[in-house]
Amino acid sequence: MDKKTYLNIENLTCGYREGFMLKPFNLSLSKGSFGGIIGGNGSGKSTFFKGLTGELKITGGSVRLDGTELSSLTLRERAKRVALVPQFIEKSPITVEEYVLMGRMPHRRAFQFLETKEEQEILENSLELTGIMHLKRCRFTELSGGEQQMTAIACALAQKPQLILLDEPTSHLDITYQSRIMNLLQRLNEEEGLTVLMIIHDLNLAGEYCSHISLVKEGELIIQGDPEEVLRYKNIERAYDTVVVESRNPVSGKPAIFQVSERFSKRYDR
Amino acid sequence: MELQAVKALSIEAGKILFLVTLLIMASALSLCTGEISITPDRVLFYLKESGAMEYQVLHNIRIPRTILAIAIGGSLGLSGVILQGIYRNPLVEPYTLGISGGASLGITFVIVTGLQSAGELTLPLAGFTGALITVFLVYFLSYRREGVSTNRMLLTGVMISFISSSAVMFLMSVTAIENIHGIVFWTMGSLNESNPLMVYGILILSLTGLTLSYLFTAPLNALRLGESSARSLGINTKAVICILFFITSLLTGSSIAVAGVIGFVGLVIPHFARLISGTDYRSLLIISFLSGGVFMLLCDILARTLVFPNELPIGVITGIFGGVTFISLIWIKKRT
Repeated sequence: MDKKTYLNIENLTCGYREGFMLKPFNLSLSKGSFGGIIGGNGSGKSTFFKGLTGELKITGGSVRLDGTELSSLTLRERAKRVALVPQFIEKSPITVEEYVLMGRMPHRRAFQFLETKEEQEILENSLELTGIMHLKRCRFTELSGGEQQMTAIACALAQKPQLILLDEPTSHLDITYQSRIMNLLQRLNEEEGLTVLMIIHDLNLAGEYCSHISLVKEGELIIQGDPEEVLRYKNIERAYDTVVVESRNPVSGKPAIFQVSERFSKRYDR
Repeated sequence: MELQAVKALSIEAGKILFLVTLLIMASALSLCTGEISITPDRVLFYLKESGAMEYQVLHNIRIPRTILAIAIGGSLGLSGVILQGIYRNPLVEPYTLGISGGASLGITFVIVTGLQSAGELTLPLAGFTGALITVFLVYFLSYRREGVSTNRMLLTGVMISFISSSAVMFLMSVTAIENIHGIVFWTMGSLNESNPLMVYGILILSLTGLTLSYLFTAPLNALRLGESSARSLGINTKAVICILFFITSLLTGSSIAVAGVIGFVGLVIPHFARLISGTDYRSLLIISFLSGGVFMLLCDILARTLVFPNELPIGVITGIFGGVTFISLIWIKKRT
């Protein structure tokens, strides 16, 4: 197997019996990539994720992580390798500490009753990384949206996965939290080689941070590659049916996309 | 850090010990009160004094009753806390899911058809069968390819409750008068059961239920984060939920068969238990069981003494007492 491809998805199809079906999906990422999946609402991004995590049964194709076919693993073995930060986080009145410790669940011995010293260290480390150490004893329900998202990410990090999947981790958050989350993931990605794959709506964040972007439309992967190749106005207009212009971030030089209001776009059409 | 875990553990152990003490005190009170009152210091004496009337009272009436109260209170509290854990909905209890309704229907059916005379275990078996059929009916009616939708399940449960209670009424309206008396009496709930097979059977069943569900503390804890998160943490949620349903139907069905429909315990006790022990199922299961037992004992003592020499149906007491406690708990919680 090619050493470069760490996550290798071949002809993956999955979906709902009488409804949405994903067209064969091919994606390969090398170890330590920062992958982004973009596309309109209802384009199949979340369905693809559900196929990856095993929440939906895949109807065809294969998903290999570091050479291991994911569907051949038990849920527990899979959970040791892949962590998911879901789009909708259940609001439960448990403490942040308890929440994050749940991330150790797949690594526990059968009938392990008490937390070990190692687990406590991993807990502290995850809380430190996500900057929520001071919230350790707070109840999850009392936190702000950003703090809740950070807690969910800390839980996924405590899982010590090889691949972390995030479903729209920055939506509904202010730019402070957006940057905090993206910078944290970038740091872990660069320093620890954690492979990241996220569904993201903000095209400019995707352009700024991702090393690989897949654009999905109507259940089909229409283009993938470097942000430079994917974030072109032609691709974006095709996928989103919206008038945009492309530009660059003046500091980082990364591609950026701007929407254009109807007033201007009409003039531009002529 | 190790010390921290030990400290947390000893706090939980302290709470459990406190509840055990309460349970012992309530049991003693339950043994002492009644038509013939026995002072606590004489209880041990009379337990061995086989000639005395107190001996008969203790062995034939009060001890079975006390054991039954603990076992049924514990079973219902445990079922409630497990179901609320599965659904992550604080309004769920055996009653709202139709489990109680199904059990009632099974038992009414047996009384009406006269199958009851077939053997002592017919009633509890009918209750259990009714409960189990309902649970799986509810489960499969709300099953879809993507999994089970909790909302659908809750709605189906409530509907099945209605259907069962209508069916019970139907059976009552077509049956002989003497059967109606039996059904009504049974529906109101009573801990008056002296058959040792039933009493110890229920005790063993409830303790088995506690032990079995205790094996599922880790999945129950993971389910606090939601079903999809629990799955991504490596828990086979479907299998776990199925087994837990089986355990709760066994506990509820048999409790209802012996003591009738006793509402509210399964709803109030889990809230109370969470208030004192937080959300960790490692202690929550035990604390729910114990506080269910204490609550039931106290309610039974009230039921026996309030309108002495008559006896109130235990469901009346649990309903009123439980409801008032529940409202005041919410009230206190809101103010703090």
